[in-house]
Amino acid sequence: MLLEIKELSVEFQSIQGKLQALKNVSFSMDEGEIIGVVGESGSGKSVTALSILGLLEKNAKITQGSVFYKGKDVLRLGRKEQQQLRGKEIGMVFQEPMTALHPTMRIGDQLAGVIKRHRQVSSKEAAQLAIRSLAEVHIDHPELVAGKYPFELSGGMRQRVVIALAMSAPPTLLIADEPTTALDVTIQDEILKLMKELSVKRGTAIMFITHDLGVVARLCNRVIVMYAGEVMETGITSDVLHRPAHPYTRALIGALPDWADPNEPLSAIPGETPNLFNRPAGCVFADRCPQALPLCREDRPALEAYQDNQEHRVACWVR
Amino acid sequence: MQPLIELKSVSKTYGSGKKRFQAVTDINLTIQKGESFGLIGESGSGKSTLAKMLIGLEPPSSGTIELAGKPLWEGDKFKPQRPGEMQIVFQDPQSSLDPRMTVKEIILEPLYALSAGERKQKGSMERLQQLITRVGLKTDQLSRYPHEFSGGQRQRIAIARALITEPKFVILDEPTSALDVSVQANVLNLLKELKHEHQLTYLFISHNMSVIRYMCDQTAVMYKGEIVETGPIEDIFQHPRQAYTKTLLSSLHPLQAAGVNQAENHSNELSP
Amino acid sequence: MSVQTELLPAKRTVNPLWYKFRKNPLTLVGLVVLLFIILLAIFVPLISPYEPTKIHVVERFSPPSAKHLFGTDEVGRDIFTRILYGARLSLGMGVAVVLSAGVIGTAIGAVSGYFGGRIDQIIMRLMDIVLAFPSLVLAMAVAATLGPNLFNALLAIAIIKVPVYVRLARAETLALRERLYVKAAYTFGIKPWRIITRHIIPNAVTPVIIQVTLDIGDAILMVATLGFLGLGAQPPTPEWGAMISVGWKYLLDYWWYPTFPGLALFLASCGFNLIGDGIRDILDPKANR
Repeated sequence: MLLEIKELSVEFQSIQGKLQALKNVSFSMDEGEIIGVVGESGSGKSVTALSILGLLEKNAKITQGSVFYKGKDVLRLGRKEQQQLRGKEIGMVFQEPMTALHPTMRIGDQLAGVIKRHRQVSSKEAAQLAIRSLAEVHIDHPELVAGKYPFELSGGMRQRVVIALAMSAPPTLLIADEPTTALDVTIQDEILKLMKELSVKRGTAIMFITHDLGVVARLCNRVIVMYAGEVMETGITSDVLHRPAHPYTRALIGALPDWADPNEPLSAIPGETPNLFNRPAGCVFADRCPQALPLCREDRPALEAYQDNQEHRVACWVR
Repeated sequence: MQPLIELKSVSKTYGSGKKRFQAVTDINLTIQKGESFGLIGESGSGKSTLAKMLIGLEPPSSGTIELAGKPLWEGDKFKPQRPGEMQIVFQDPQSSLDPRMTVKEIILEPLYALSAGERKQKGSMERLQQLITRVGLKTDQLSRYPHEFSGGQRQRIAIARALITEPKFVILDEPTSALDVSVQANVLNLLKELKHEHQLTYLFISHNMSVIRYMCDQTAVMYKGEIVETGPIEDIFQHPRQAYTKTLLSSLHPLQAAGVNQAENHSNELSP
Repeated sequence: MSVQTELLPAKRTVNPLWYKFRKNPLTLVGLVVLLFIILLAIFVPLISPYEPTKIHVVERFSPPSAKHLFGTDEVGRDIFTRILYGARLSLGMGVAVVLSAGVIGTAIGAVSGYFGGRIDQIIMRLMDIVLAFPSLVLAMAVAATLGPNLFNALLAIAIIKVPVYVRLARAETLALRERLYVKAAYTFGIKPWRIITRHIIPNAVTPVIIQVTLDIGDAILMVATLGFLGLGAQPPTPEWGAMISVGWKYLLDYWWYPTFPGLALFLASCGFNLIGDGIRDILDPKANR
């Protein structure tokens, strides 16, 4: 097992009080696996990633749980060790590529800098490796692009560069938080293919955080469905998408206009996401759930195997 | 039948000399009354520039844009026959509502382009309350400020604002792109119902093929400032002729490609 | 982080403004000092048995005592009383002058920024001319030209303050003009004057408020400076600058005479500056540190 998250809970301290952003989140990842963490805004998917990376803001507090990376609890590591882990073992790609790029440094120099930090190579070799890594993310004329500044590139190109940067170490785990959301559909497609290819070629595990079930279907072996800071359902992608066990997952798939008959209204989820300052006692989805039982409002269901499939787990009383 | 909207060889260039940039090239387009016309394109395709020229934010460099047979532009001056006939709903509900105004003020604001008499008639408290409940908000929320609402609610406010003047034609510029899937479904349903109730004509701009398919009956695909393909929605989706349209379509239905079928999901269990 | 803002409920339990205010002790100090001065200034007729301009030669140059808290001046007037009446004048004038400069400057700046083009060019060159002179020198020149009295001094200070607000409001307007909600108002067909008054100015007002509070302290000092130089309020008006101007000649023999008005001036301008800083921190978190 590469990564194991156990009962992770995170709280934000804000003016309005304490907000529980994550509650008892548990899941694990194997080496080389591509896992999708899917959820809407406020589901806690990004907070999960930031907790693993040790990048939570100051007002956030991990109140409970542990994150084991290769058997080591990363939450108990010092700042410096965490930083080292981020540089060497765990790569990151975020939605906005400009945040990861130095605005006034040439692309080639940025890449060469990272490569030199991780490998014993001369500057000349590093420059060459930089060009090669640009070629690996399918950038045409990598020598030319290496001499450019970030602002001279398009959004898709920048995201490729960021992936090249993240992969140059190369990492064992890549955490990608909505890396294609800001990109055009056709470019999004290419980036997804690229990530899959790199994962297969290098054996890199990818945690892909997204709101887009379509992206999950195309890229991920397994999927974690999150809602309001809790894991609702996990399993092999095709299992979860074909036979969604949780009413929330079903609703999410049903709300997509992809198959809908234009003459019929879309099946939308009624209501609003719950107030995370004051969590309900029972299931967080109960208020919006068409199948909710009285029990659902009283007791929180645990994540348990669905129809005896140990891989496919769901947190729901209505099974 | 006279089309409601007609664009004749409309082009838009920005800058001059070396920095000259052709955003939109020779667009011919007609939208009939009562249609939902979908405009598909990726960033830089010129679809937003087209919307800006229609709504009066950018004058076309050449060509004519007509609403019900009357030109909208006289040179660089935007001269719609009657203010309030056309409205727009923008993509980003965070920034399209004035943060210092209450919901009531926001919704009534477009009426200030109309005559005092019309303003009084359309801005009656009764009509306002009817409209706000129709878009799914409560009347006691009228005195709140935009920051107190979620993204989906803000977009509902923007929709109410667009309808206050009783427009014939509404431009929807990526109205659900910034929203979550479940919220998107609600807003799309609302837009469809409103179209029916008010006999509206829509220009629905989006990069999302499945949203366009669900919402529209006619469509045009834009690429690099030009319309590469146009026609009834089913034609375009079933028998795309242009390579670019085919590429766009290949990104559609990944769930179906993965073998997911909505019918299997018993989604009907969800509708109460 | 966007993750959490999405989760915030609509209702607020604590007023965040007050929360931030509390966390800023220096601002509180400024607030307390000013409130103290203002309350004294308002209730001075109840506190003090003396009149600010009544001459009482017998008591001239009495040192601070229980009878005369801050002593008396060369004609026996109670300095404590005069300082408090002076506070009415100084604070009132400081606020009035900066507020009027703020209102006029903001209006000009918003118009200039919204329309742009030639109007903007002319307005901005005029403002550049005013800004090219050192402010005090210009204020002195204007006050001296118009004639030395309190109103002209105020006019002079207002004139030199206006360009600051014009620039501020113009820059803000240029940014706001690109905001979607302003563009949206434009697409409705709303007339420019309404866009400026309803959409631009209300949203441009935050930096103006910050600038106003920061400027009041400065304006109080300027009123006093002109008074000190004989270009502002004329004796026997109990104005701090004028008092210091007369009193400093007696500093060595009767230290209290110029010291207390000076101290009042210091406290008042300090108070406004602290509040200004605090308000800036609260309203404009980007400028923080």
